[in-house]
Amino acid sequence: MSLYNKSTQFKNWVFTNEQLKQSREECNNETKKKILEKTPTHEPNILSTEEELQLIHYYESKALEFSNALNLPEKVSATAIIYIKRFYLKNSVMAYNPKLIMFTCLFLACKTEDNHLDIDYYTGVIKTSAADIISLEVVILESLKFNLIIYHPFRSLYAFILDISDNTNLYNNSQPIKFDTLWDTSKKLIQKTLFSDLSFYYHPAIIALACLSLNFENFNL
Amino acid sequence: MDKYNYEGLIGEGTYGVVSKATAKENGQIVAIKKIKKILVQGQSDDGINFSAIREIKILQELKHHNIVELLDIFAHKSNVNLVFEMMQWDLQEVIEDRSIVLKPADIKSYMKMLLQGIEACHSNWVLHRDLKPNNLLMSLEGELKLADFGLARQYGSPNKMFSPQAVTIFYRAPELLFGAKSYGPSVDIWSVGCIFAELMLRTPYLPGTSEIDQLRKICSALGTPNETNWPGVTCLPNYLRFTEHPPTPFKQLFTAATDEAIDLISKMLLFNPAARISAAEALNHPYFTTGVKPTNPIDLPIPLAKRSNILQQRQQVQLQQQQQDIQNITTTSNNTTGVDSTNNIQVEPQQV
Repeated sequence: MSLYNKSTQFKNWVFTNEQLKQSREECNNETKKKILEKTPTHEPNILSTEEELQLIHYYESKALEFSNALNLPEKVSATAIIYIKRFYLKNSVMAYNPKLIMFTCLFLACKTEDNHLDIDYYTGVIKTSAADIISLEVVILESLKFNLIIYHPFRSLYAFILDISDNTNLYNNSQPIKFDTLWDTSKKLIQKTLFSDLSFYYHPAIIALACLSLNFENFNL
Repeated sequence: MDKYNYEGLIGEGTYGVVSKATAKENGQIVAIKKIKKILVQGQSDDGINFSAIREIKILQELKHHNIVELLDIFAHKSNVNLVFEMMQWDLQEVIEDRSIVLKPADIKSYMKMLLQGIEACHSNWVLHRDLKPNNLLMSLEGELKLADFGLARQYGSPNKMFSPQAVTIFYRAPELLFGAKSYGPSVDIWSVGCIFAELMLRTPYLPGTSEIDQLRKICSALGTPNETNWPGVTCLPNYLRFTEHPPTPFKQLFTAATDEAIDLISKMLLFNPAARISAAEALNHPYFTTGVKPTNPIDLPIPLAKRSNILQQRQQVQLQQQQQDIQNITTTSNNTTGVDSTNNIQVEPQQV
C-alpha cells in the first residue's frame, strides 16, 4: 500500500463536492448566527459563503506572492495554501481575519517543511506584529487536527517525467523532448490547481498526471 | 485537558515536562508531554518549538507497534500537549542495571524490535537521527518502542541539505562527524550497531568526549577510514586524516557472540554509508533466523528498581482481563444457555 493511502491527508481530508459545500455553509451559518445575536444591526455586512470563498482565494494567491517575495521554496507556499484551505473548512472568514491566517499558515508551513524563517525578519517584511502571528498558531493547528504533512503533486510529476525520459523510444518523436520545459510548464499548472479544490478530491499523483497530459500536445507526446 | 486526570510529573523531556495521567473516557494510563516555550532573551517568541512540530508532524502519520503511539494532541491556553501511551522503562536502565543478565535471546529480541521500528520509519521516508538507549522505551508488556522524534525528519527530497549536528555523539555515524550535508537511513543503522555492541558489552561502545575524540575512538575500534573502505570520504567537509590503525576484530571484543551476530554488527558498522546494511536487510539476516529464538517481550528482564511495580501492574491488568472475560461469558451464557440448563435438569431424572 502506498504511503499516501495511510496518510492523514487521505484519511481526514478527502471529501465529496457536497461535503465541502456543506462544511463551508455550516461555518458561514454558525458565525452569521453568532454575529447577529450580538449585534443585529450588522446584517448588511454579513458575507455569503461565495463571498467568503472569493476572499479565501484572494489570500491564497497572496500567500504565493509573499512566499515568492521571501524566496521560499514552492513546497512551503503549496503547503501554506492547503493549510489556509483546510482552516476555512472549519472556520469562517468572518471569525478569523484571513490576512493574519494567511501569514500564520505561511510561517507554520516554513516550520513543517523544515525551512527555518526568522520571526523578526518575517514580521518586518510583512509589517505585522509577531504576537498576532504566534497567537493564531495553536488555533490553526487545532483546526488542522494537527495533521501537518501534505502530499503535493510535485513529487509525482517528477517521477512521471523520469519515467518518460527513461522510455523516450516509446514515442515516435523526431525532435528530442525538452524535459526542463516540460517540468516547468507542468509545475506551473500544478501550482494553479492549488487554488482549486482538487486536492480535496484526488490523489496527488492523479493531479500530476492530469497536468502532465494537458501539456503533452505541446511536446508532441 | 478535561479528558484526563493528572497524577503528577514523571520526567522532563527535551522540550517539555511529562506528566502521568489517566484518560477519563477509558481509564487508559497515558503520558502527557506539555510543550514549553523556550524564550531566549533578546529573541522574539517564535511560537511552537520546531522539534515539537517535527514530532507532531511525523508521529501523526507513523503508526507501528515498535514506535511510541501519539494518542491525542490538545491545546490548552497557548500550550500544546502531546498524549502518548504510557511507557515503563528504557533500554539504558536495563543496560546499567547490574542485577540483570542479558541472555543472547534477550539481545536478539531487543534488536528485532528496534530494527522493526527503524524499518517502519525508513519505509515512511523518516530518519530518526537520535537513536540511543534512553530513547528506546519499554511498554508494560515489554515491547520496545522508538521515542523522541524531535530530531527526526523526512528525507528523499532532492537538493535538501541537512544539518550534520544531529544524533547524540556516542551513536553518531562517521559521515556526520565528517560534516556530510546529505545523508540517509544509514546514519540510524550506525546507531543501531552501536546499541547492539552496547547490549553485549553493557557499557557504551564508543564513548567519545568530543567530535574529534569520537572519531579517534571509532578509528581505534574499527580501523581508519580511507578511500578504499569508504570511497569519497576524503572529500567530506570536515575530513581529517587519522593515523592508520588496524581494526580490533569483533570476535576479540565480543567473545560470547555467535558468528551471525558478529557478521550482522560488522555490516552495521561499515564506514561506507552506501555499503551499510539496511533495516529491512538486517531483519532478514541469518542472525534472526538461526540459533536461539528471540525472547518473548513479556519475559524480558525488568530493571530492579521497577520490577515489583511492573509485576504488580501486570497482575492488575491480568485480573481486569479475567474479570472482563468472566463478564463476557456470563452475559453470553445468560442469553443463550438458559434453555440448555433447563434441558439438563429435565434430562437427568429420565436417565436415572
